[in-house]
Amino acid sequence: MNFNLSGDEKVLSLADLAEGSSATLADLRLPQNVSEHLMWLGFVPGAKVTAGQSAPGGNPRVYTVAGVAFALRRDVASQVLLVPVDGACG
Amino acid sequence: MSCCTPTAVKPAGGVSRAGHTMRTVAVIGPPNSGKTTLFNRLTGLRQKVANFPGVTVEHHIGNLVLDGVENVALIDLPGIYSLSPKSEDEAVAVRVLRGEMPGTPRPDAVLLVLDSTSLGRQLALAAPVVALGLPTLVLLNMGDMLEKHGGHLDVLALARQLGTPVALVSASRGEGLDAIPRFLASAAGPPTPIDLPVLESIPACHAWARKIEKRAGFRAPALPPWTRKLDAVFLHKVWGGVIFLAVVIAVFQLVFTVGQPLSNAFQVVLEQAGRAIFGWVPPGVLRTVVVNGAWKGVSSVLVFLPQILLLFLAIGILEDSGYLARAAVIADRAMATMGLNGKAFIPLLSAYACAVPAVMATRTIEDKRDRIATILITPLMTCSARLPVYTLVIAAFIPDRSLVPYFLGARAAAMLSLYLLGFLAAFVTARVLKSSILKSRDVPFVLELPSYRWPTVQSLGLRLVDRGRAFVVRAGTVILIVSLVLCGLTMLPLHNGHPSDIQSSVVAKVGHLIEPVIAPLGFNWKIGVGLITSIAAREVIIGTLGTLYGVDPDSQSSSMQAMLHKDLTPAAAVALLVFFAFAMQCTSTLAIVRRETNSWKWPALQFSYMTILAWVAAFATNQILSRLWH
Repeated sequence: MNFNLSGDEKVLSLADLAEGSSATLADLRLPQNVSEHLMWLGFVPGAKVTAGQSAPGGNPRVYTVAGVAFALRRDVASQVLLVPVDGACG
Repeated sequence: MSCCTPTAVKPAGGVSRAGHTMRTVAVIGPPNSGKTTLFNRLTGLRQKVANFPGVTVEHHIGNLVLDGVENVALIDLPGIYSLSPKSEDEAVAVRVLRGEMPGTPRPDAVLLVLDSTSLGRQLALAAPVVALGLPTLVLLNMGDMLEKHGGHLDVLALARQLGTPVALVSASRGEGLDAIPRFLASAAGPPTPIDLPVLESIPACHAWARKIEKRAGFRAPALPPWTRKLDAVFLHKVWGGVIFLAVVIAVFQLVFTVGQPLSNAFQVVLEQAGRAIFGWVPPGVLRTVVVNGAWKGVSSVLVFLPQILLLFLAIGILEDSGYLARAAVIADRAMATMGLNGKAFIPLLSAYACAVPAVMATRTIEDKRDRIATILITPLMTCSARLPVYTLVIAAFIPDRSLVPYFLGARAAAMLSLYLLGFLAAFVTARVLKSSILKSRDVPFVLELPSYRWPTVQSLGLRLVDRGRAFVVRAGTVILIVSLVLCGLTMLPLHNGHPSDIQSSVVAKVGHLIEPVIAPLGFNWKIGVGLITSIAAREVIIGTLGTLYGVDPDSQSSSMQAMLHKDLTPAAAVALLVFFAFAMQCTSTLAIVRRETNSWKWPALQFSYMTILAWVAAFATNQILSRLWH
């Protein structure tokens, strides 16, 4: 699946989050079905998400939201955008 | 057990339905909320598995077994995250709850099961559920964990917010469940929630959930760090993969090394039973039908039971402990190259033993299209029933010489090539299916990783009973019918009341009839008869050829090899191996695919596809090799 809908490469996404660090969700640039599914799981704008371990090779990766861990593939995680934080790598 | 004292309260207001006895109660909740554990606790073994008409979604129905409750049927609906009917599971749940599912009465009440230790996210589902207007009891499961690890919740306050009774329970310990009969006796009306959000806005539902969670004074428990610590090992960059491989090999070893002797021992028992039946039934046609038809057919399926139960024990431990989800994460990349996801891994591995348990193991795949694609390719993996056929033909035609000294012999290489051939066919078929008729429509791979838990004996036991029963009953009945038909065809027509021998039977006639079709593959009518009878099960061809050649296949396999040499050219022998690598010669698998997909469409497609593939591949093999080797 290819969800490259953003085209904006400066905005950080879940896929850019370092292991063990957290950030706040800003937007899900995914087809409606997919984003609604993720939102019911707790990936709503404003939610705090923590990145965890990944499969060998870095994909898929575990993200914890509201205390529950989910594995997401990179194609999806890279379209879940984060609220920019000052001092984050850019 | 003070923690789990039920705190069911009467909702403020609400229409009273006094005098109404509730008869159908739906159990719903998100995956991993302990819903199934609760259902098993409430119904015990008095439950049955059923499919809703026209869908692959399966559900359990059981009678509620609680003091003071009678005639209440409990329906266990699939685990869902929302009531927006995007997935098949959710659509089914919504249709059942609205009373739109044919054959299923509209539930009189709902038991909503939520995990109290991660209430925040789970409460969002309560919004669409209470909005349905059905009398609802919210069961906050794992109440023991909440209390034990310093969590807190004002159940009464939460009940006020939701406008419906709430009880803190522990399904695994059976605590607090007396709230259920009290709720059912209370004639509770529709929920009257405070400030229900706009259901179409998912963020609004989550905001609402956070708000009422706060008003109910929820404090999350400080759960032990086991899950985090174990994930650091099981998903470690190096050790994660190593442990994964070790687990895979252990499961494989369990099914083959432990399961095979068990199956062999079981076979001895079955044969003795067969001899006993032989003694009871008077000689004649009836004896042949009962012993050679019915019992041989049924026991050829039953013999897989020990291995199937072992495999499901292993899968049960992996799944209930939480490791299976981690294994799926690790296997995901490899499975993605086939167009599938990590959850397809265990079924495909199991298929090397037998496609029947593999098809049943696909139940862990939530995405229905992925599940059907996996079901369709499992019989292409080299199962153990192909081994006797491969062994016989390879021994007859491949010289026992070394290709790589001390490492690889010609026969082993031939066997290995057949395994590879099956895998490649499965790989290509999966790719084709997943990019055409079974393409997933915007369903991302999202896998919840539950906390690690100790599997309970009760849950494992129920799973084994459930799977074992499904296998024996459903596959057994189809096998029984097919075996009887095939057995009948080998004996008909009757001559003066005596059955034909196989050479002059209907089956032999069909063998002659299909000879023009199989002649280009290099097969004569005898092989044709073997191909027909082996539709029941692959290894049956050996017994059939043995009968046709008039030799005992067990004691005289060398003479059988000699006979095969007369009937097959080397090119045709390879074509026969290729045919068996691809052909769907297994009624048990077809029966179980029919059962698991709840439709004849998929087994029919599978049978046609694999038979055509087998014919084309065997044709090409015979034509090319017979030209090369002349």
